[in-house]
Amino acid sequence: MASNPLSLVYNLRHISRRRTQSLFTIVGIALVVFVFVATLMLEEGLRFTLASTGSLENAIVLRVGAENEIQSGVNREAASVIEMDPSVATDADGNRLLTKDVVVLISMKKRVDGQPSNVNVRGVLPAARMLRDGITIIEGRLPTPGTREVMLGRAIHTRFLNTDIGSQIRMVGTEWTVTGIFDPGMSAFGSEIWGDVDILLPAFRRDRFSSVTYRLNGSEPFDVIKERLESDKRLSVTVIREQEFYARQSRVLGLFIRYVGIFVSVVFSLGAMIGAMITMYSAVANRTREIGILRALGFARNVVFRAFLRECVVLSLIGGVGGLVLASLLVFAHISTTNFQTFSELGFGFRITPRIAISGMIFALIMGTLGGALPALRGARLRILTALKD
Amino acid sequence: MELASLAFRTLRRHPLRSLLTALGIAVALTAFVLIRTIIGAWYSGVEASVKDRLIVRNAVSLVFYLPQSYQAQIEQIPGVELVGHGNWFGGKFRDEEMRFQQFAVDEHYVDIYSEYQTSPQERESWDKNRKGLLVGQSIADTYGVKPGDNLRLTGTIFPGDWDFEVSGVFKAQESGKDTRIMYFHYDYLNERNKAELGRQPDQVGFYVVRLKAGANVAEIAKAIDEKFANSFAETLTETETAFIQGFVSMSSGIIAALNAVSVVVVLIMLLVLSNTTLMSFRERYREFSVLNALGFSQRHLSLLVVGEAAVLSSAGFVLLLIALTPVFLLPAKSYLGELVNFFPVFRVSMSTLAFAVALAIGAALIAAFPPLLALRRMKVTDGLRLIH
Repeated sequence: MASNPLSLVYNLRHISRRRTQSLFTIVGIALVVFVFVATLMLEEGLRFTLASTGSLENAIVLRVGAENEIQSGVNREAASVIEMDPSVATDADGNRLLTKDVVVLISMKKRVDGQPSNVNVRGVLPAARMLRDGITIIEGRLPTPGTREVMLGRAIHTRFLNTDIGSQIRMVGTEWTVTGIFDPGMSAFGSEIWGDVDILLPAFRRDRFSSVTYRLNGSEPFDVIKERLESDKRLSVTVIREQEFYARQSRVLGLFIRYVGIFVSVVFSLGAMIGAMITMYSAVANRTREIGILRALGFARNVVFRAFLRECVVLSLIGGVGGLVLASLLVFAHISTTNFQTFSELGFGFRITPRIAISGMIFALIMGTLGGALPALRGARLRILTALKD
Repeated sequence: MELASLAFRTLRRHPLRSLLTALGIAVALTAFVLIRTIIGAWYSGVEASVKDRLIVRNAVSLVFYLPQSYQAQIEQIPGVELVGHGNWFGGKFRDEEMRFQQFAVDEHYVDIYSEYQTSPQERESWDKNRKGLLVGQSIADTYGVKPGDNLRLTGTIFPGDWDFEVSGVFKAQESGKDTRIMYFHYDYLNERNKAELGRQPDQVGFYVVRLKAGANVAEIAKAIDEKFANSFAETLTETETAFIQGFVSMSSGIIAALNAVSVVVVLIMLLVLSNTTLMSFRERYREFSVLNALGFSQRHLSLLVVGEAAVLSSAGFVLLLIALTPVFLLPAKSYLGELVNFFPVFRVSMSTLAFAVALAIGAALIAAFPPLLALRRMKVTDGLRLIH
């Protein structure tokens, strides 16, 4: 572009001369980029939340065929066999870094509208907090093992009624006291209620755990452990790395966001491109005489073509930046919805990455190029004499 | 009348610009209609539900079961006509993630859902076959399944392979009902649960209750819940409508986002249209002054501006109808692609179209507003003196 004798200043002057029209085009493109980037950010936020829920160093054991913990069941005998497996890591005191969880759904009322939504209740062993790094109590205290006490994630506290410290939550006919609220770090555990598995299991009249999760001690390759446990006739389980397990749970919802987002963005971008074309065609029409003079002065057709195309690209890039800035404000927003795959409430945010920002700008660039190409072509193909006569 | 023809003629001065504007409006209107229809599809289950049919489930949440013995007890409550029960199976078919609903049910359940119709022969063959399966029309169409075929599901909640024989295909009485559903015998599930899986037997997921004509729905729902209050499995009874509404409101976050997006698309439409009206007014400032000097009143000129915008947005609406023809004529799969799995019922409603008409009119009025303001301020002498 530097070789073009018509400099960028030429474009900028024209853009600022026709302020209203330029603004319309810029805002149109900004809105499209905003929607496009916002969906990408939402999908990334969901993926990131679930990916950081699981650790690569942990393995989760579910019943064979189960896709999530609600469907799964691991009986006590099987859980004991897994507990004794040589691949389970221990802490400095020799305690096994393993938790046998029971996960059930209960229905709670949302603060916004009082409507019920499903919440995960998880019964855990004390080692559970060591397995999931970054879970810290931010208010109150840890529940005492062996009692009907629970702690709940921050997302539950902000979104559901009756979740303050000291509140009584009614589950299966009995009251449970909230003693603490925890910050889940980046994970999805913030949308859960945690209690003692030894109390929750009989209270929910369950005779089996939902899953067993443990820290791998790294003594053997994961595939070997997986093969050993899955082929054990007593168990009938599947073993997955915890990170992969949670990543899978975001698949359907993530696909949904992506499909709807792309569908909407493509349709919207058509609208914005048409807007840009209208503006650029009128720019060419208004400057017909000017083009004639430029051509008469010796500027080549391709110079004129590039100058007009660049004008549209500049407009779209300004719009793209505007859309990006607007969308990046969304990192302060939070979305909470039901995950189709687990039927339970899941909170996640918008997340921007360099890759998403670049995609947004490329999208703006494509819109500018496509919207500006035809008008620029018309300008370049004007005959000198007819143009001068205008 | 001259004004209308004048409006048409001016638009023909810049045919390309007029066409592009109409196209822009059409694109925005199409997007708007599709988004509204997606939101409508979400609520389609609620609309198709029956208000005087009750669903009884465990009060804790849907993942908890109820004892089968409740069936006889609910039947005794005055006003109750028939009680059926169902269990969510949630299996995988041909290794795909679950794309349709599967229920293990008793015969009463099939009787209660009378909006799904099976031929008497097929129904009889299902009744007799322990591994019999009734499949909805859309499953039969999608997977090419017909009566007599064998079909295997892989359990996720109930592990193992489950073999069935298709006994019949049922159709929905009205087209607004989703038929991506399968029914098989609860007894088959219960027996295998007892024999192989070591599960507690005789547990059902939920009950469906048909009431006698004229029965008091709310009273009976209350009577059912009171009957099992303080038992080890308390119940929550709601109408089918409320039950499905509960599922929909779980996704309220997504619906809110879609609503926001449909507002953005309207804004884009306004931008495109206002851009054109303002542009064409500026270019013809002088011309308007001439018309004014010739004796056309301000009112006439305003009508001309509004008329131009109205012609453009009507043209956009006509293009919208053309764009929507595939939605009216073709199967949803051809234009929704993968999204079809989320929206089994996808129909553009009359009210959405009416909404689009209102939007087109509203947009024309709003887009005509800035030039109208400029017109009011216009002085004939200024306009005539203006040099381009």
